[in-house]
Amino acid sequence: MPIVVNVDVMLAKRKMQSKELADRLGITPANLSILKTGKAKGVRFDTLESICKILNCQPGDILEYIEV
Amino acid sequence: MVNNLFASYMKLVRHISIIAFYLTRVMAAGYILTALYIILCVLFQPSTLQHLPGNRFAICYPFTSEHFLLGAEYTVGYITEMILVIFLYGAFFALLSNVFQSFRPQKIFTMRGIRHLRFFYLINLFLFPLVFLILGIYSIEDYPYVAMITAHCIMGIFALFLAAIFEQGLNLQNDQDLII
Repeated sequence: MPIVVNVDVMLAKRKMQSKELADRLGITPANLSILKTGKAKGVRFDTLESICKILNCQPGDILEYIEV
Repeated sequence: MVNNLFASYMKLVRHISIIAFYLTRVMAAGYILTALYIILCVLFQPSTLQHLPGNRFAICYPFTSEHFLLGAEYTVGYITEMILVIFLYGAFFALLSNVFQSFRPQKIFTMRGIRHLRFFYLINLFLFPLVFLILGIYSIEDYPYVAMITAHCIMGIFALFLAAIFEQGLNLQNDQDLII
Protein backbone atom coordinates (compact mmCIF):
# COMPACT_ATOMS: atom_id res chain seq x y z
CA MET A 1 0.00 0.00 0.00
CA PRO A 2 1.40 3.43 -0.88
CA ILE A 3 0.31 4.89 2.49
CA VAL A 4 2.97 4.17 5.10
CA VAL A 5 2.29 4.49 8.82
CA ASN A 6 5.24 5.98 10.68
CA VAL A 7 4.02 5.52 14.24
CA ASP A 8 7.17 3.50 15.03
CA VAL A 9 9.41 6.38 13.94
CA MET A 10 7.49 8.88 16.07
CA LEU A 11 7.51 6.49 19.04
CA ALA A 12 11.30 6.20 18.75
CA LYS A 13 11.64 10.00 18.50
CA ARG A 14 9.49 10.49 21.60
CA LYS A 15 11.18 7.55 23.38
CA MET A 16 7.82 6.01 24.11
CA GLN A 17 6.90 2.33 24.12
CA SER A 18 4.08 0.88 22.01
CA LYS A 19 2.30 -0.46 25.06
CA GLU A 20 2.18 2.97 26.67
CA LEU A 21 0.77 4.51 23.49
CA ALA A 22 -1.83 1.74 23.20
CA ASP A 23 -2.85 2.26 26.83
CA ARG A 24 -3.13 6.02 26.40
CA LEU A 25 -5.10 5.61 23.15
CA GLY A 26 -7.41 3.09 24.78
CA ILE A 27 -6.80 0.44 22.12
CA THR A 28 -5.27 -3.00 22.44
CA PRO A 29 -1.55 -3.52 21.66
CA ALA A 30 -2.71 -5.95 18.97
CA ASN A 31 -4.70 -3.19 17.24
CA LEU A 32 -1.76 -0.79 17.51
CA SER A 33 0.41 -3.47 15.95
CA ILE A 34 -2.10 -3.77 13.06
CA LEU A 35 -1.76 -0.02 12.56
CA LYS A 36 2.04 -0.02 12.77
CA THR A 37 2.50 -2.92 10.36
CA GLY A 38 0.28 -1.29 7.74
CA LYS A 39 -2.36 -4.01 7.91
CA ALA A 40 -5.05 -1.53 8.95
CA LYS A 41 -7.62 -0.55 6.32
CA GLY A 42 -8.19 2.85 7.85
CA VAL A 43 -7.59 5.18 10.77
CA ARG A 44 -10.42 7.01 12.51
CA PHE A 45 -10.00 10.76 12.81
CA ASP A 46 -10.36 10.61 16.58
CA THR A 47 -7.63 7.93 16.80
CA LEU A 48 -5.39 10.07 14.60
CA GLU A 49 -6.18 13.10 16.73
CA SER A 50 -5.26 11.20 19.91
CA ILE A 51 -2.02 9.90 18.39
CA CYS A 52 -1.04 13.45 17.34
CA LYS A 53 -1.91 14.78 20.79
CA ILE A 54 0.02 12.08 22.67
CA LEU A 55 3.07 12.14 20.37
CA ASN A 56 2.88 15.92 19.91
CA CYS A 57 3.07 15.72 16.13
CA GLN A 58 1.11 16.35 12.94
CA PRO A 59 -0.91 13.78 10.94
CA GLY A 60 1.73 14.09 8.22
CA ASP A 61 4.35 12.81 10.67
CA ILE A 62 2.29 9.64 11.16
CA LEU A 63 1.08 9.00 7.62
CA GLU A 64 3.21 9.24 4.52
CA TYR A 65 2.41 8.69 0.85
CA ILE A 66 5.05 6.77 -1.06
CA GLU A 67 4.49 6.24 -4.78
CA VAL A 68 4.91 2.58 -5.73
CA MET B 1 -29.86 7.87 22.70
CA VAL B 2 -29.83 5.93 19.43
CA ASN B 3 -26.95 3.79 20.72
CA ASN B 4 -28.86 2.99 23.91
CA LEU B 5 -31.94 2.05 21.89
CA PHE B 6 -29.84 -0.19 19.66
CA ALA B 7 -28.14 -1.82 22.68
CA SER B 8 -31.47 -2.59 24.36
CA TYR B 9 -32.83 -3.88 21.04
CA MET B 10 -29.85 -6.23 20.70
CA LYS B 11 -30.31 -7.30 24.32
CA LEU B 12 -33.93 -8.20 23.55
CA VAL B 13 -32.84 -10.17 20.48
CA ARG B 14 -30.28 -12.04 22.61
CA HIS B 15 -32.88 -12.89 25.27
CA ILE B 16 -35.38 -14.13 22.70
CA SER B 17 -32.72 -16.19 20.95
CA ILE B 18 -31.71 -17.82 24.27
CA ILE B 19 -35.32 -18.79 25.02
CA ALA B 20 -35.88 -20.01 21.45
CA PHE B 21 -32.61 -21.95 21.57
CA TYR B 22 -33.58 -23.91 24.69
CA LEU B 23 -37.16 -24.48 23.49
CA THR B 24 -36.05 -25.86 20.14
CA ARG B 25 -33.29 -27.96 21.77
CA VAL B 26 -35.88 -29.55 24.07
CA MET B 27 -38.18 -30.20 21.11
CA ALA B 28 -35.29 -31.72 19.13
CA ALA B 29 -34.44 -34.00 22.05
CA GLY B 30 -38.13 -34.96 22.37
CA TYR B 31 -38.43 -35.89 18.69
CA ILE B 32 -35.13 -37.81 18.58
CA LEU B 33 -35.93 -39.70 21.81
CA THR B 34 -39.37 -40.54 20.41
CA ALA B 35 -37.79 -41.93 17.23
CA LEU B 36 -35.37 -44.01 19.32
CA TYR B 37 -38.25 -45.19 21.51
CA ILE B 38 -40.19 -46.39 18.45
CA ILE B 39 -37.11 -48.27 17.23
CA LEU B 40 -36.71 -49.93 20.65
CA CYS B 41 -40.41 -50.84 20.79
CA VAL B 42 -40.38 -52.34 17.30
CA LEU B 43 -37.16 -54.26 17.94
CA PHE B 44 -37.91 -55.64 21.40
CA GLN B 45 -41.75 -55.78 21.27
CA PRO B 46 -42.34 -54.72 24.90
CA SER B 47 -45.81 -54.48 26.45
CA THR B 48 -45.95 -50.80 25.49
CA LEU B 49 -46.34 -51.83 21.84
CA GLN B 50 -49.96 -52.84 21.35
CA HIS B 51 -51.28 -54.50 18.21
CA LEU B 52 -54.77 -53.23 17.43
CA PRO B 53 -57.43 -54.67 15.10
CA GLY B 54 -57.02 -53.95 11.38
CA ASN B 55 -53.20 -54.29 11.51
CA ARG B 56 -53.05 -51.00 13.39
CA PHE B 57 -50.79 -50.48 16.37
CA ALA B 58 -50.25 -48.20 19.32
CA ILE B 59 -47.14 -47.29 21.25
CA CYS B 60 -47.80 -46.34 24.87
CA TYR B 61 -45.88 -43.98 27.10
CA PRO B 62 -43.00 -45.85 28.78
CA PHE B 63 -44.13 -48.07 31.69
CA THR B 64 -47.81 -47.18 31.13
CA SER B 65 -50.71 -48.42 29.03
CA GLU B 66 -51.70 -44.93 27.91
CA HIS B 67 -51.46 -44.46 24.15
CA PHE B 68 -48.67 -42.15 22.97
CA LEU B 69 -48.47 -42.87 19.23
CA LEU B 70 -50.99 -44.51 16.94
CA GLY B 71 -49.97 -46.28 13.75
CA ALA B 72 -52.29 -46.95 10.84
CA GLU B 73 -50.45 -50.00 9.55
CA TYR B 74 -47.94 -52.34 11.21
CA THR B 75 -45.68 -52.75 8.20
CA VAL B 76 -41.96 -52.13 7.69
CA GLY B 77 -42.69 -49.32 5.23
CA TYR B 78 -45.08 -47.50 7.52
CA ILE B 79 -42.86 -47.81 10.60
CA THR B 80 -39.80 -46.69 8.61
CA GLU B 81 -41.75 -43.65 7.40
CA MET B 82 -42.88 -42.87 10.94
CA ILE B 83 -39.35 -43.09 12.36
CA LEU B 84 -37.87 -41.16 9.42
CA VAL B 85 -40.33 -38.24 9.71
CA ILE B 86 -40.01 -38.00 13.50
CA PHE B 87 -36.22 -38.23 13.32
CA LEU B 88 -36.11 -35.62 10.53
CA TYR B 89 -38.13 -33.20 12.64
CA GLY B 90 -35.72 -33.86 15.52
CA ALA B 91 -32.86 -32.90 13.21
CA PHE B 92 -34.86 -29.90 11.98
CA PHE B 93 -35.34 -28.55 15.51
CA ALA B 94 -31.69 -29.25 16.38
CA LEU B 95 -30.56 -27.23 13.35
CA LEU B 96 -33.09 -24.50 14.14
CA SER B 97 -31.70 -24.27 17.68
CA ASN B 98 -28.23 -23.82 16.18
CA VAL B 99 -29.60 -20.94 14.09
CA PHE B 100 -31.02 -19.31 17.24
CA GLN B 101 -27.69 -19.85 18.96
CA SER B 102 -26.04 -17.72 16.26
CA PHE B 103 -27.80 -14.64 17.66
CA ARG B 104 -26.43 -15.14 21.19
CA PRO B 105 -22.79 -13.94 21.01
CA GLN B 106 -21.80 -10.28 21.24
CA LYS B 107 -20.47 -10.54 17.70
CA ILE B 108 -23.39 -11.93 15.72
CA PHE B 109 -21.64 -12.38 12.39
CA THR B 110 -19.44 -15.43 12.74
CA MET B 111 -18.31 -18.21 10.43
CA ARG B 112 -20.03 -20.66 12.78
CA GLY B 113 -23.35 -18.83 12.39
CA ILE B 114 -23.01 -18.89 8.62
CA ARG B 115 -22.32 -22.66 8.72
CA HIS B 116 -25.45 -23.26 10.83
CA LEU B 117 -27.57 -21.18 8.47
CA ARG B 118 -26.15 -23.02 5.43
CA PHE B 119 -27.04 -26.39 6.95
CA PHE B 120 -30.50 -25.11 7.80
CA TYR B 121 -31.29 -23.79 4.32
CA LEU B 122 -29.85 -26.85 2.61
CA ILE B 123 -32.06 -29.29 4.51
CA ASN B 124 -35.10 -27.05 4.10
CA LEU B 125 -34.59 -26.46 0.40
CA PHE B 126 -33.49 -29.96 -0.62
CA LEU B 127 -33.86 -32.71 1.99
CA PHE B 128 -37.35 -31.99 3.32
CA PRO B 129 -39.00 -31.35 -0.08
CA LEU B 130 -37.37 -34.52 -1.45
CA VAL B 131 -38.50 -36.67 1.49
CA PHE B 132 -42.03 -35.25 1.41
CA LEU B 133 -42.19 -35.68 -2.35
CA ILE B 134 -41.29 -39.37 -2.00
CA LEU B 135 -43.71 -39.79 0.91
CA GLY B 136 -46.42 -37.96 -1.03
CA ILE B 137 -46.12 -40.57 -3.77
CA TYR B 138 -45.76 -43.74 -1.66
CA SER B 139 -47.19 -43.00 1.79
CA ILE B 140 -50.63 -44.20 2.89
CA GLU B 141 -50.85 -41.23 5.30
CA ASP B 142 -52.91 -38.29 4.17
CA TYR B 143 -50.62 -35.42 5.16
CA PRO B 144 -50.78 -32.03 3.37
CA TYR B 145 -47.45 -32.70 1.64
CA VAL B 146 -47.69 -29.77 -0.79
CA ALA B 147 -48.20 -27.33 2.10
CA MET B 148 -45.33 -28.91 4.04
CA ILE B 149 -42.97 -28.70 1.05
CA THR B 150 -44.00 -25.06 0.48
CA ALA B 151 -43.46 -24.17 4.15
CA HIS B 152 -39.99 -25.75 4.21
CA CYS B 153 -39.02 -24.07 0.93
CA ILE B 154 -40.10 -20.66 2.28
CA MET B 155 -38.10 -21.26 5.47
CA GLY B 156 -35.14 -22.39 3.37
CA ILE B 157 -35.29 -19.24 1.22
CA PHE B 158 -35.41 -17.03 4.33
CA ALA B 159 -32.44 -18.91 5.81
CA LEU B 160 -30.60 -18.54 2.48
CA PHE B 161 -31.15 -14.76 2.57
CA LEU B 162 -30.11 -14.66 6.23
CA ALA B 163 -26.93 -16.59 5.40
CA ALA B 164 -26.16 -14.06 2.63
CA ILE B 165 -26.71 -11.19 5.11
CA PHE B 166 -24.44 -12.93 7.64
CA GLU B 167 -21.71 -13.37 5.03
CA GLN B 168 -21.93 -9.70 4.06
CA GLY B 169 -21.98 -8.77 7.75
CA LEU B 170 -18.91 -10.88 8.48
CA ASN B 171 -17.00 -9.20 5.64
CA LEU B 172 -17.99 -5.74 6.87
CA GLN B 173 -17.17 -6.71 10.46
CA ASN B 174 -13.72 -7.95 9.42
CA ASP B 175 -13.13 -4.69 7.52
CA GLN B 176 -14.36 -2.70 10.51
CA ASP B 177 -11.94 -4.59 12.77
CA LEU B 178 -9.11 -3.30 10.58
CA ILE B 179 -10.14 0.33 11.03
CA ILE B 180 -8.28 1.51 14.10
